Amino acid sequence: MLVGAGVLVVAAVVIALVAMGGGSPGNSPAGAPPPSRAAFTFPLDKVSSVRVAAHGPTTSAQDVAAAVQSRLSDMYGTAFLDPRSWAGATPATLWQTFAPATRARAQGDGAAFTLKGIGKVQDLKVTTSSLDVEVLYDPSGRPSAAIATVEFEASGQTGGGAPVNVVSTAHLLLRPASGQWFISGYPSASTRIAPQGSSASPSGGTP
Amino acid sequence: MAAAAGVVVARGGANEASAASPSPTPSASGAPIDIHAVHGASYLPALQGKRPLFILLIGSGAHPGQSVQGSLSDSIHLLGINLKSRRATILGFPRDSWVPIPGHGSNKINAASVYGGPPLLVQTVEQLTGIRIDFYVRTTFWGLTNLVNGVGGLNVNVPQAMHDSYSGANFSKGRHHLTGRQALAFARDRHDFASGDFARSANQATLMQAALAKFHRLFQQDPATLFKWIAVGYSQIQTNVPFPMLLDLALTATQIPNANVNNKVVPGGGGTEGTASVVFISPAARPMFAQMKARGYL
Repeated sequence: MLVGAGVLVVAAVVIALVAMGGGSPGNSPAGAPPPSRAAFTFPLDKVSSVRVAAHGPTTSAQDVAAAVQSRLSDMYGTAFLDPRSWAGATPATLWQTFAPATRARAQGDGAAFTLKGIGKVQDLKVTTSSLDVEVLYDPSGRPSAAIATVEFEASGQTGGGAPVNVVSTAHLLLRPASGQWFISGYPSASTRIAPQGSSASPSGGTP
Repeated sequence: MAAAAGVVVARGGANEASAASPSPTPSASGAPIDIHAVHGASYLPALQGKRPLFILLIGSGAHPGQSVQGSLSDSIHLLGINLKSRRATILGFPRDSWVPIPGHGSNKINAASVYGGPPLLVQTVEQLTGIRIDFYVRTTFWGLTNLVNGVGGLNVNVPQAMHDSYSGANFSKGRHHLTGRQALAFARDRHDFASGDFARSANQATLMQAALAKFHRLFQQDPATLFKWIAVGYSQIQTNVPFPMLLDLALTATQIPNANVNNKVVPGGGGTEGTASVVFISPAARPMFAQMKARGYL
């Protein structure tokens, strides 16, 4: 009886592991472990704030910027460094960075935020990235909105093996809700893909 | 978008902002492939609503050192915004307009704020036009001066030569970059115009249009302009617009093209009431009010 239960548990674990590995991303050779997502955090280059009243802030601009940094690092990591995104299946969790009212629109504009425009890639590694955050405080000193200026550049190989550069830039408007920061608008956002060696300088959308 | 091995990306698509020249790259098979693509997008939330939004813009005549409470309103404009079509009208009311003021008989419209501050002026304009006003924004002589200085001055097309010692206006006809003090003089001068108060009211709205044009230009260069302008504005106004909505309003303003903003003045004619020189609003104003109420713009 115990042996039977043990076999069932082992089988369940094996099935679960297989299921987790299902839809194995990229062009991993059969039997090789799927590549894992590289850790990524935007370096916080510049933090500034705008106040409309003399009230001291309830949360420092640095703390707000750190929260925005965490959200956007996760979003860009998911969009460009997650092997599921390389395989053309960008995780849906990415869109939860956007406010509910903006989510559908952002998904429609998905190619500006993801690899949707390039298709499959074998790998991408970050080459440069930067993040500036400006925080607006309301009259009572609460953070009311933030504008993040994002630059993200990565290089790697397409599914076909061609070397490629990806440059994603954006001005993002974020607002807080339920203790989290959500993107409620993007005055400009673009993702540019170019062969390595060619210029892939940022080019924003039309504000 | 993506295709067979080697061929990576097609350019274009609904979100494409621009596309660089194709740059052929040899594929594994040696055939050139095009992996140049730019996907750009822009989206800003804006206020939504079935009915137009109306905001009364009030310029108090209080000078530095004088109390704003109980001061005359030297400049009165009703801003109507059609949130759906992104069109707007700034409708000016000559300050000497002879109108009924709720609870105070008839008087010049600018007296309403003396009797009851912005709320009574709002009520007066509502009664006159039949339009329900959502919010008011009030500034002062020095508030306007600081606002204009705070945004680095405004470029204005001066419609005719203005040389008026009362207001301090001293401009040749044509385009000028106005400092805060000059903008105030431009907004106050009525002696240089045959249509006096009507031209002055239109000039005041011209300043607002100039501010919108500058806001658009700077926002396009740097979206953080939004915060700076809100901070400058908030420090120089009194308003019942909730702060979060100010941000929404500013975002909405980024999406109203200048060409979609009309500058109109309520029609009327000069006359006297007792010994006072006043403006009688023309019956032709009624259909304007009706149109403004229905769609938010003229």
